Amino acid sequence: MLKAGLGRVIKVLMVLITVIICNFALVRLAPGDPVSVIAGETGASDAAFVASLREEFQLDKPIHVQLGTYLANVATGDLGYSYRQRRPVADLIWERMPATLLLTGTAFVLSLVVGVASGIFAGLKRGTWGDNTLVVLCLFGYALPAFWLGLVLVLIFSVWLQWLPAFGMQTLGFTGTWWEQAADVARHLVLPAVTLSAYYIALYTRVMRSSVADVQSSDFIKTARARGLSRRRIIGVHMLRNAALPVITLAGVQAGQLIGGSIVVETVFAWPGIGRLALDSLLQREYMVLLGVFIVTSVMVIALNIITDIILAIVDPRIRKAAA
Amino acid sequence: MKLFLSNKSAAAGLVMLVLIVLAALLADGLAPHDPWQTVGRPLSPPGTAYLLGSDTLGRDTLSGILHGARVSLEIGILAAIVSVCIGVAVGLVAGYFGGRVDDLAMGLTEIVQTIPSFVLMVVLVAIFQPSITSIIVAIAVVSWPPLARLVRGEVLSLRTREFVEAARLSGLGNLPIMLREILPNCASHIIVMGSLMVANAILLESALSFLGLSDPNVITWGYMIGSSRAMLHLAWWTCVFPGLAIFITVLAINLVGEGINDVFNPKLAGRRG
Repeated sequence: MLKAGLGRVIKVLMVLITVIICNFALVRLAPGDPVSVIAGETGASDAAFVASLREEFQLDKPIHVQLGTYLANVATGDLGYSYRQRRPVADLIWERMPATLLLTGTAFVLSLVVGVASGIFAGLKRGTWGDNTLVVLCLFGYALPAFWLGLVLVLIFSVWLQWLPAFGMQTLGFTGTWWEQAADVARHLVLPAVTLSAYYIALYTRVMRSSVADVQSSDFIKTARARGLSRRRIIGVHMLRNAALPVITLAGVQAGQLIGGSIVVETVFAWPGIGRLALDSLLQREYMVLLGVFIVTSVMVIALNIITDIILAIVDPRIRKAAA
Repeated sequence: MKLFLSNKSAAAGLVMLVLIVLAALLADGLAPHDPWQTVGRPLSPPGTAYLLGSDTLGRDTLSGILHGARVSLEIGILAAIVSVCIGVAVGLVAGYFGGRVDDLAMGLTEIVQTIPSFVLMVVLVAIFQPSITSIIVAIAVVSWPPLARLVRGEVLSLRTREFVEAARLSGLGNLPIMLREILPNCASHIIVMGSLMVANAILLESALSFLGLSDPNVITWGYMIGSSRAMLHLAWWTCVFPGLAIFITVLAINLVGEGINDVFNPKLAGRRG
């Protein structure tokens, strides 16, 4: 257990250090003066301001000293300063965190639940028209650009049918009880969450479908059948647990893409999360905010990976034993 | 080839793909207008003077789509080629040498896979300024790891085979063995994954240009959707048609890729059906 944990910690640290060094290198490799990257569009023309930035980021010191300073800053949670918004980058990101967590978390659960359920259905009913329909839908799901799917959903459900709100996270000026506000947010959440999870639903359906097929023909299921266990019990207890393993492993790997994908989806739905912040800072050339988003999303991905590992250990006793 | 064409969906994908490639190659002749030029009333609905309508600046949507096909395919194919090269190199070296080299290469692969790839792409393209080159490099940088893993796995199982031993005993160096003996035996897997990478690269490029990260000198499908999405409620065609073009292209490439896969790995083909 200790050894496995230690390996995990080393991996996490390696990823983080790579991301931080990547950031550091990007600022220096960018065309033009690093100061212009740090200051954004705002004050690069003011000579005194540029000189003060040069001083602060020790740009006249040797490169390893600069890297040391940057690592120390990030380690203490200092991600730089947004000169346009006049606030620390870490604060800006922290403020947007709940919205992004809500969106990606909902999409993560939604894609797993729907993907696993439809994968089981297709796997058990192989060759039927229901299975065939799902296979075709999955092919479509792979090929749909998320941002376009989002726009089409807005067109159908917001513009034409007027069932769901097209953008934002809350109705402006909406007041009500705690419960009514939650319902309001939930209504705003539907379209973005569906948009973000569509690709992953297709992916998990497909993996689960072939996994169910593999497990179905395995010896222990035959044994269970021979023992006369009910069909419900065989599917529910024996089959699902084993067939779900590849999906959960995959979900851990895909977590990073889910967070990346939220940039696009938040842009489409004006969802006030980190992705939207990244795009705004992109348009305003506030690269420090963008780099901060890169670090924070990496940390989120690592956290999700660890959670996936824990879930895997709970579902699969073999892993628990190996780690012990 | 016969086997490939007997697969209905793969054949359909191939037909679609050929049409798209033709459209891309002949865009100058086929397109009724210059995609950047204002040719008429803004936001004209489809069907009237312009088959697929016009956008906020009165530019012809159909012409934009035809010209966009060229950029999408170009970026998709080049990015896939670059990432195949990286992935094959890393996978070959890791699998062939094993030990420390393998640990290092796979460690790097895992790190790249963990980093949120879309965020990295946005950062790369934004800082190095959007251009066809920076977009291709950014897509390649995040796309190679799955292929590296696949190639490594193949090489691991191949390197102890007799024909590799024989080549080694005959005095062949490491590099010729890797390139001449081992690589051709992985080729089928590389081709299949490479074709799926093209589709993925097209999707990534469209998302980047939707966010405004496209080469300002070329018209792309993602750019067309991004620039007219504010008018979605007034002119659905400006967003819907370019998106359909992305969807159909990616679908066609995926179908062809799976068709190739079924031909190369006939054992798996039955399991899918």
